[in-house]
Order: sequence, then structure tokens, then C-alpha cells
Amino acid sequence: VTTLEALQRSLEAEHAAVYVYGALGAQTSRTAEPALSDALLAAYTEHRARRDQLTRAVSDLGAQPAAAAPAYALPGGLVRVEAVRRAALELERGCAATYAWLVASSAGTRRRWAVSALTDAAVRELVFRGTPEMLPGADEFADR
Amino acid sequence: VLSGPRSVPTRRTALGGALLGLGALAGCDLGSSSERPSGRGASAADPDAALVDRVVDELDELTALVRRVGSRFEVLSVPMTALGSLHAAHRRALAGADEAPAGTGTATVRLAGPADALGRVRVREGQAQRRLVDWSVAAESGALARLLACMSAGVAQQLVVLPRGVGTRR
Repeated sequence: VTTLEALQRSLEAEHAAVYVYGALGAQTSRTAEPALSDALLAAYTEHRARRDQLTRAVSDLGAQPAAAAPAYALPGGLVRVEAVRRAALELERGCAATYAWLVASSAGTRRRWAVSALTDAAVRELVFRGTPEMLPGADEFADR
Repeated sequence: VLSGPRSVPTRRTALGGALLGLGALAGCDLGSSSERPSGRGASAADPDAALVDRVVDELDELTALVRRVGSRFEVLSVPMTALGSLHAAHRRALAGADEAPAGTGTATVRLAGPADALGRVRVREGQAQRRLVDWSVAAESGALARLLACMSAGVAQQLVVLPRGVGTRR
């Protein structure tokens, strides 16, 4: 996997994250669930920033950044608060795994940026009631 | 700070196996990024061998510290056990064994009380987390860089759930 390919995959993941977080936020009552609503908004803002940074990184390599899809599949049952939390948690786990591969396929300052993005996603998992993992982003070690 | 017996050949051999496994999972040679071809392997010329040794030594020191704190202050036994399990899992993933050699660790650190001990653990774990980031960036092998980055993220998660003070949950 080249650095450019890994960057494009990360960008595609962030496009999906921005879309899904938008949907999760729309499903969440700010009055009934203020803490969850704030957490979703913060995550949405962070993923938008990461998406923009990735777009610039791809452009800097002389390539056309991957475009967002018109829509992304949403998990079912989002009328329930727990389903929203679960969807956000799974989203962060997916982003952590994607950024872990970007770490493997990059070097220098770009790798450092990927480590930071991986760590942010791993820590955000805890906001959505995730539990600490031994190696966030590396599922092949999950049962060790 | 005491250092345990060195076991370089074992670590290199185990690392080579671990990284081969990661490469197979990825279906590609992760060590060959377009920015920095690695060409690494579990050989005497392995550019990452010394780095792996440093990481294992760091894990052994952390393990010794959290074991000592957990056994001396019962109120901290639960979070120290969690940290100990984390470091053991990291050592296992990196070097193929989760036990540090006998005599390894921070034997000379004085712990004034549970609050002081907790503070020392927090500072030391935070330092380790930053070092893992630096070591990830320094690694020649992409697969090793990924593993070290995931280890750093695991420590970052534990720092979030580590109690802020004795008798508090976070």
C-alpha cells in the first residue's frame, strides 16, 4: 500500500464519518441527551478537520482527493440512544484501524500525524462508552 | 533503575515472526511504504532491532513500577492490574513473551503514599506514551510503526480511565 493509497482510504473513511456523525447528531435530542449531543458535535467537528487535512495532504502529492459518496449506509435503530452510541463507537474503531494502516504506509511528519489521529479516535471511543483496548486499531491482537 | 538481562536474539526472532504475521494479514509488504522503503527482516542487519530492545526495556520498567505500586497500595490494585495487563499484552505482541526477566525495573523508586505513587505512574505512563509515538515515527518497518502507534493509543486510553486521585474513579 502506498502512502497516497493509504491517505485516500483515510479520506474516504473521514467522508463517511462526517456523514454518519451528521446523521447521529440529527437523531439525538440536545435537550434529552445534552452530553451525548455535545460529544457527537465535538466528534463531527474533529472529523471534518481531519477530512480537510487529508484532502490537502492528497492534493500536496499531486493527486485528486477522493470525493465523498452521495450517501452512506446508516446502522439501523438510531431512534434509540444506545444505538447512536454504538454507531459512534464502531465509527471510531473503524477510523482507528484505518489510521493504523496509514501509520504503516507513511513516514516522518505524515506518520506522526497519523499516530495522532489514531490516538484521538481511540480516546474518543471511551466517550461513547467504549472500554480500553490493548491495541486500539489492531484487531488482529484483540484476543491476545 | 535496573536493567534486566538482555535477550536480543530472542526478541529479534520473535519480532520477525510477529511482523510477518502482520504483513500476511495486510496482504502486502507494509514495510515498503512509498516514502521510505524498509527492506527489513529478522536479521543481524535489522535496523529496528535496537529500537525493539528499547521498547521492551521500557515495558519492563513500567511493569515493575505498576506491580510495585499495586502490591504496596491496595487502593490502587485495580488500575495497576489493568496497566500491568496492558504492558504484558504489548510485550507479548512485540517480543513474544509477556514476562519481564526477574530483577528488571525501578527498584530504587521511593513511594511516599498512594497519591504520590499514582502521580508517579501517571507521569511515567504519559512519558511512555509520548516515547512510543516517537519510536513509531522512528521505526524503519511500517508494521513495527503501526504496532508501536497502537501501543501508544492503548496507553492513551488507560491514561483517560486512570483515577485522577486516590479514591476517585477518573
